[in-house]
Amino acid sequence: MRIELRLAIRDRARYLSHLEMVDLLLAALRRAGYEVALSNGMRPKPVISLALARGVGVASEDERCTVELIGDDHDPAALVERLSATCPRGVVPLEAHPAGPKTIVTGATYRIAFDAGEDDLAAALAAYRAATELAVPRRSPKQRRDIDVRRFAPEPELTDGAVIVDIAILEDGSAKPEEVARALQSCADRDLRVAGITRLAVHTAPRARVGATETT
Amino acid sequence: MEQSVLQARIEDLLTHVEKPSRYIGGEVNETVKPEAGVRVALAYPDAYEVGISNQALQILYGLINDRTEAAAERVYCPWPDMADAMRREGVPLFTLETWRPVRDCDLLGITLQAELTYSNVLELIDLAGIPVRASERTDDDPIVLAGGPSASNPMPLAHFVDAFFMGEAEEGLERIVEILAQTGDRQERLDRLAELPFLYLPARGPEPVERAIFTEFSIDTAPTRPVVPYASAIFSRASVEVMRGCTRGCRFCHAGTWYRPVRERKVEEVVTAGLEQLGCTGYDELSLTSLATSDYSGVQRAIREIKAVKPDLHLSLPSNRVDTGPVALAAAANSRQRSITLAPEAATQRMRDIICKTITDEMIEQAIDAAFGAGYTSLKMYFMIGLPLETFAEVQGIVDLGFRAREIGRRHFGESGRFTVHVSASNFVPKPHTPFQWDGMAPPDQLRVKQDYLRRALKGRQIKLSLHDVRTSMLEGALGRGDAITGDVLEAAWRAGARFDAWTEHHREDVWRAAFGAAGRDLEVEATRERDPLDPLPWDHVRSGVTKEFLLDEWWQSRAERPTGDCRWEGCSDCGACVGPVRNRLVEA
Repeated sequence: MRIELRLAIRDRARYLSHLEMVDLLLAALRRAGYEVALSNGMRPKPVISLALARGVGVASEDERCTVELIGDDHDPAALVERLSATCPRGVVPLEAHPAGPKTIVTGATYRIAFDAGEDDLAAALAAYRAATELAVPRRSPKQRRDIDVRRFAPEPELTDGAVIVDIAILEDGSAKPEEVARALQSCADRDLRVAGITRLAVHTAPRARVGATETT
Repeated sequence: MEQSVLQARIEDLLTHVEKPSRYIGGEVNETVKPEAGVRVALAYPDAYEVGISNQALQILYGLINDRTEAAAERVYCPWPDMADAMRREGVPLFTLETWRPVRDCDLLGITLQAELTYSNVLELIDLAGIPVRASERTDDDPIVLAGGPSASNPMPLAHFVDAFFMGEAEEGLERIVEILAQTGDRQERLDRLAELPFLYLPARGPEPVERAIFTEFSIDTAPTRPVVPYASAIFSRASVEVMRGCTRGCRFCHAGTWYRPVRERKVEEVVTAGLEQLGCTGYDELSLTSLATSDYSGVQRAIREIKAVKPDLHLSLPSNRVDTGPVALAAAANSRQRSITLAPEAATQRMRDIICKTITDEMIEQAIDAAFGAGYTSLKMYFMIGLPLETFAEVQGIVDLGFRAREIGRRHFGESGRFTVHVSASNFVPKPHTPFQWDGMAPPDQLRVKQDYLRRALKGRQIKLSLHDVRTSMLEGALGRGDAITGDVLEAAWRAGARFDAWTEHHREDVWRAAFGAAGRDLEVEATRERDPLDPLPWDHVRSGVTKEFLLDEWWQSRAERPTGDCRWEGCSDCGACVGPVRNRLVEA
């Protein structure tokens, strides 16, 4: 039975990496008495996935996990209750339901809190919106490239003293919330220190049906 | 620094360091007792992923938190990036559970599992804001206590540690906690601790100190709620210690002396503890641990009973002997398990007689055959090079045995079958309290020549070779049998940047050479120097229970190439370990 779980990642648990989170959820499910199905093939792996990788240090109120459990009669409410008792501190199961048709992730909403006054934030946001391009360098061990953050996150807003921003995932990539924060910092006259980033929601759309392969 | 300020500063650091999950705590089965009267910081002087996998520290953690009014919290050595950031930002060493400063604890307990972690011991003490030298500590500083197998020669760390625990901590830990609860003044605490026969306080001089032996091991319940590490740990599996001690008498083996006599846990207890651990940890693998698990009298019954409940469980038996291992391994085998390890240690009969490894070529071949026959496709074999009286024939023997194993493998899996023989050759390092404590290490050039030969000779399909870094082995040898002057060398090396010496990317050979040189010593001379049996040894005041006369007699037996029988089955060898209630205790098979 495929189940979709929604979890919150709070407090110190936000420093867990994507892979650590997957292993942690598998162990928590085993402790709760559930058996996770294995994939087919030469090296079977547990069938579990997280919808959208989360940066280390980013909290989340919408961490989505799809997992295939052995058996067909699992009560989602009971699963949340049992999993709540077996997850480590800061990992909070919120709800579960049978997984529907597969979807693709189109974006996510984040709350970025800064140690700064509303006036400073408003000024930075105005400069951000006025810019036509905001390039932020992204470094990996193999390469360095500039990401135009503005293209993926065009309309950040100020709400209750923090920045709320929708970041889209496009065919050619996306921006990380840390990069949006850096772009905002570059637009500010004063030093804006990031106080915390929280993912508020993940946005999905139905996966397009794959038709016959076209050749050109 | 206020607690909330400290927490905010730690959070700031975590976004800038590698693997922040090393520092966050909050794992399943951790215990938080913020109101406890006595607070103990249990430290492992290496990275989180190494330390969290250590069974001894897990036992002590459970023991303190479950049975006493005290709270035990964990500390691991911050990785260099974090340590540097902590110093830069003025963040003191903190415990994982509550993120409180270690210096506010009553006791900092450090486990010494290996000599190459000694520089990290100093790093931990300094990061905590505690003066590195014990003589400079004041009433505001916690007691720094060290234990574990490497404490059996306490002298290299004697300048830096207030008290050393000799032996098995289950036997005396509660008495230490009681003293901490009853006293508040540092001096009074040290006075009371000095009365305990298993504690050595360097400031009081080299008074004789007795090894504590946990006599109740066979009837005590095994720990069942270990802290479950995050994914990065080197071992992620449930484990039950089935037996403590080993009387096989391998002459190079420190644990073979230090944990005598043999005490086996009841099979029922092993099965119950194993299943409980699996349930509360979520692991899908259970390890039955000991110095030689295949020697455990109840091994087959335990495996049978565990597999009756969990037939698909991945059951691992580390440290298998060649003579008793294959049968147990065959019983433990399942479809998911592909790899086993055998430890012949030496490849020729002559060398096995010298080191007292009482196995024959025929037994080794039978073991390899049984392992491949049981379906294992990866066979790892441990050997040592640089042993006393070694000739080149012993090195050639490793090559020959490696190829012989491949031949046997091909008989099972075919000429181009998918299996691997992993040959691992480590460098012999003499340890205190062993019959080889008077022997020197082989010179580094000689070790390198032998390693080069193995690299050239052990090539080909289905064969893999792994070797140990000669530089770190030499340092291990120089520190392991060191004295108080070695402590000065250690401090100089640490001040010059030595830390995480067991990690090749951090090992600083130049720094250590300079530190030894400044003390008028040479690193290689210290490691390779033979000790005269008539001269006193730095650890002579530490009484392991096994007499020096027995060790010397065993040394002579090694020169005569004569093995000694195991007292479990071949009569008492009069080693001195059994006194009063302390005896070998075996369970029924």
